[in-house]
Amino acid sequence: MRLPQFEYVEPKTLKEASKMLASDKKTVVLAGGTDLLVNMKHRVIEPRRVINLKAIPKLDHITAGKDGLRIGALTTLHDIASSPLIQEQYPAVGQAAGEVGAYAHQAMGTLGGNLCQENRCRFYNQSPFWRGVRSPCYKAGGDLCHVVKKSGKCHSAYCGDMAPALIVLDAQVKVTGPDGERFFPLKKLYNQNGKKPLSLKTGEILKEVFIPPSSGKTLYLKWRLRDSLEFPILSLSLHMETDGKGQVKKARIVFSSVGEGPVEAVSAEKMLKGKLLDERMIEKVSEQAVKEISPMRTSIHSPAYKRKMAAILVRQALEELRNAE
Amino acid sequence: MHKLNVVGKRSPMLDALEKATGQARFTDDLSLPGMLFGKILRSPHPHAKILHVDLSGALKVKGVQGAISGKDIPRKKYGIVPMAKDEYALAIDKVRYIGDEVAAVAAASLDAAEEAISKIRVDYEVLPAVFDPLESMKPGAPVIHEEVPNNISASIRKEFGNVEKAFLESDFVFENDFETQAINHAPLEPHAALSTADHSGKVTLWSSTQIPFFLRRNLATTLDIPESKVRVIKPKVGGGFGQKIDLYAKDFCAAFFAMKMKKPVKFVYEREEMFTSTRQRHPFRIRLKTGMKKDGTIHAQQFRAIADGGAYNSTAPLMITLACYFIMLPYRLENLLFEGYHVYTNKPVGGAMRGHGIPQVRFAVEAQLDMISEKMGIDPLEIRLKNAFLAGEPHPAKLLVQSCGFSDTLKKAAEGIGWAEKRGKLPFGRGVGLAGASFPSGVSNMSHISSGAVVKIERDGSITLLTGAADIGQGAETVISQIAAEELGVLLEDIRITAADTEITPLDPGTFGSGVTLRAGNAARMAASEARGKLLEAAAEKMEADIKDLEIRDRRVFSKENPERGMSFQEAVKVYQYSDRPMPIVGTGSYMPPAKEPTTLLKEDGNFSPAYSFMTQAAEVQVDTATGKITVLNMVAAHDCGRAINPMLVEGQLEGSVVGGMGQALYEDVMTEKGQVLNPSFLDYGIPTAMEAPSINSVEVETDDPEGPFGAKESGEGTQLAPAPAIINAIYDAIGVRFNILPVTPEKVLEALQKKE
Repeated sequence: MRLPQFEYVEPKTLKEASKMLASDKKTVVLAGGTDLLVNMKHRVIEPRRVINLKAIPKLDHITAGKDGLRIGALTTLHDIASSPLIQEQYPAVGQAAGEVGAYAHQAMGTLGGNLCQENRCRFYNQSPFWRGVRSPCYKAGGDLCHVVKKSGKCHSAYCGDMAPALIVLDAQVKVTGPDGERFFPLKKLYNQNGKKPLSLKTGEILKEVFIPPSSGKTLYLKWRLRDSLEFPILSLSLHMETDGKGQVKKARIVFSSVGEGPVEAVSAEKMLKGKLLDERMIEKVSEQAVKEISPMRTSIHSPAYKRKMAAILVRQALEELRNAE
Repeated sequence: MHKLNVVGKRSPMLDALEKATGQARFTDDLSLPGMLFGKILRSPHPHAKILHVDLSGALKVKGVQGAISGKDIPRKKYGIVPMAKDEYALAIDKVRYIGDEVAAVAAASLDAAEEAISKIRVDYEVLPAVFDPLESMKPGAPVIHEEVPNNISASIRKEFGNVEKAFLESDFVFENDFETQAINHAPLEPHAALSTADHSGKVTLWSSTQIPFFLRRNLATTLDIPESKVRVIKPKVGGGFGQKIDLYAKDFCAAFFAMKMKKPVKFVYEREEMFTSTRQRHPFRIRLKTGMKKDGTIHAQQFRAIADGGAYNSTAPLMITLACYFIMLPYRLENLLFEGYHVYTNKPVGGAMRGHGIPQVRFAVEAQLDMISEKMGIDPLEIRLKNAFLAGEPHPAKLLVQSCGFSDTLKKAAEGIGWAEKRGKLPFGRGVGLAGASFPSGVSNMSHISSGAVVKIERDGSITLLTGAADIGQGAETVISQIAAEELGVLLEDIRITAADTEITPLDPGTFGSGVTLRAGNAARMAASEARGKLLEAAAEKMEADIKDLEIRDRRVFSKENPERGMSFQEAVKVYQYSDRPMPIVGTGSYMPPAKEPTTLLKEDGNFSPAYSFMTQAAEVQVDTATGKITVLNMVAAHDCGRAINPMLVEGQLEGSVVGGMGQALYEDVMTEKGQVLNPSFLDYGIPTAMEAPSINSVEVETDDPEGPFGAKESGEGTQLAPAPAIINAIYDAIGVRFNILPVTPEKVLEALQKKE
């Protein structure tokens, strides 16, 4: 598979990049390329122009301040996974980065790229020959969805590893657009629209991720068949703060690969608030969490299996945090 | 036999450094001036008539120099088994699976070639398709090849002994169904071909092939030119596992365009094409009925095996025949009725793959043996030992087994895994299992089945060795060189080997059926021995010694009686030259397995192979009962390879086979939906990675086979027969659940555990 032809530019500032991006709908930005280039080879993204962000300085950093941690969007996943600072303060974030793809993906892939990766679907992430067996789907520019026929929308799944671990920590993102910067919760980056999964406005580029100081414990659990290479069959991140006597003060549960964006189990979180984490509660919460996800047949794994595993993973995560008390 | 000097040494592969440093040249690394790039247009339909192919759009693309479809090529069918030819290099009248070849282009750049195939317009009349072999066998099913109206393109019904009577005599009868999945060989090097043609019309083809000489024959046939007009050269090959035992469209198209345009043309397959349009291990549906005597003797077996062959035959008749005969080893089995069918479906094509039809039936037998042993209260190890075949026993199908270390492999594998302490005694979730198997070391008698070798002793005392054998990464060139060096009494580094070039090296059938070491090794040994004799004749004359008293070892010619008397190897070469004997010193060897009732098995019984290897795999697994995930902790591979010419390479073969077998048991599955491969990538087709590989203990059992060079037999291919059932049997020991359908994914384990509760 070859890359299609495109114009290649290397702006020196983010502002310049943002203007270029805003000026043309068929322009895309390139960071590590582990997601974009494969999609281009598959011809599901055929840009006229590619903006390489890597010539822009100061986007690759991990900086600790008293108000929290800032990570530049071009920081590689490998640097995040091996950062002593992150390992100490936000181990689940480091772990999530260390579970992305294989080593080469971590060495090339960046935090910004990982958060902004395209949604995936078994009918979408295929070669033109493969897709040519049926008519094009919404995401590939057509007008139907092969996963759920007649549903009128694209059901592709968000499959990133980093987003769940960062959302449960209340991470914020800073984006640069043609008219200046915006700062908002990472969760709001995702609009649960399979065809266009990011809420970025025209010309906006992710610049930095901010993680506020965190108390409590965070876990990232990724379910896959092999311990390397794979996207999650599904994954979840759990963050929990307790009062020290086993009573839950705050809980966040966010899944990946079970919906059009990262999926937060809001009702399950509410259920936990102010409660003791006993066997019955763990059972109830894992049952509730599964009700809040809506996996579709977007991969070779069945939705029923994803639900089953979701319950098991939530239970395991809750048990692990309870036992760590 | 005197002490061996080079044979038996753990020498690194001759090309290890070259490969590790990226210097090794595979077909896609080759480039010729003015070279064009080819691409193939494939069918998007599982079954359709080709009404019209319009190449004009492709020809208009800038840089495109040629485009062809089925109507442009000679109407010559090919197939690796001559009696089962059913394929054209490009589909002529209809396409039979998604990925079938329809047209091809050659262009100045890959970009232009890719664009050009997207501009070819094909009118199809879509036909009803059939994807399930059982449906395909039913009357009224869509006919995939007009010559085979019932879609059963190869079958065998074979009875040994008296099966009906034997079942009546049996004390217990067991009957079970088994199912195996489609497995892709997944060699890391994709299929590639580069061809050039000169003005005399002679074609040279560099190809990622396991079978240069068969490829020459098939290519000449399909191009409709004499064999002498085709030269096939095999560069480095990055794995084959049986997938590169065939002519492919890329070989034909590269050569056809090269002839037509007098320019070099290269084709390289995408990974997706490797999954959709090459070969795969046949999925099998198996019903196995076994009659047992009270004392644990296997008295009768009856098989009904249906192989899902996909759209074409490839090795069909041989594959289904091997499945039948190799059920009769490694256990004594007097009464067998085997019914096997190779059935066409509109899916990717089955072909030879590591074990060739045997892993599937082996899985059924070994899994059922464990069920039997449980019901009868006999230890699974004991029941296998009791029925183990022994060397020299008369075989009901006339296989001639001269060496057999099967019982030893059983004992050593059991010992290695800790059978006595662990079987049935580990905590819930952990278990051990074992399984046995046997495999031929090459084929005794078929056309093209002899191997040749030429050994030249050069003026500086170095050795040039020519062999037709095709090293595809297993280390054949190293092993053959070790054999020649041992015979000549020189060191491994003295040998320069040239291999697998049909114009330069002697005939060789290629790498399949695990015959390379035995066949090409024996040929090299014969050639070395002849050259050695010539050298010794001159040395004996000079030393005034009896030639029979002379020996060569460590580059020194000396008298056995008086080892002080002698000269260096190089000096002996000088003596030879100065005695006015003709240079270079050449020895030739041709080896054909001895023909004691030889057979291809296709039409009659007889001895199929010059030697048979035997092996036992023992596995220890851990099942996570909360998630269903299975971890293979340890694997012991005990293998009777006759003699390990290079123990390190034998271990490499065994380890690779273990991981491959583990893939079949737990991870790999070429999934299709209406004939379309759902997971044609290394992302979704989950071959086990280094993270999944267990701790592997390889145990070589040496039985010193009388026919093998220095006693060597097959190693590696046969080992892939037993890991899957060993793992499945270990899972049963761990959680008490029997899986008769492969692969056993965490999802299935979870389901089974919940059902059990």
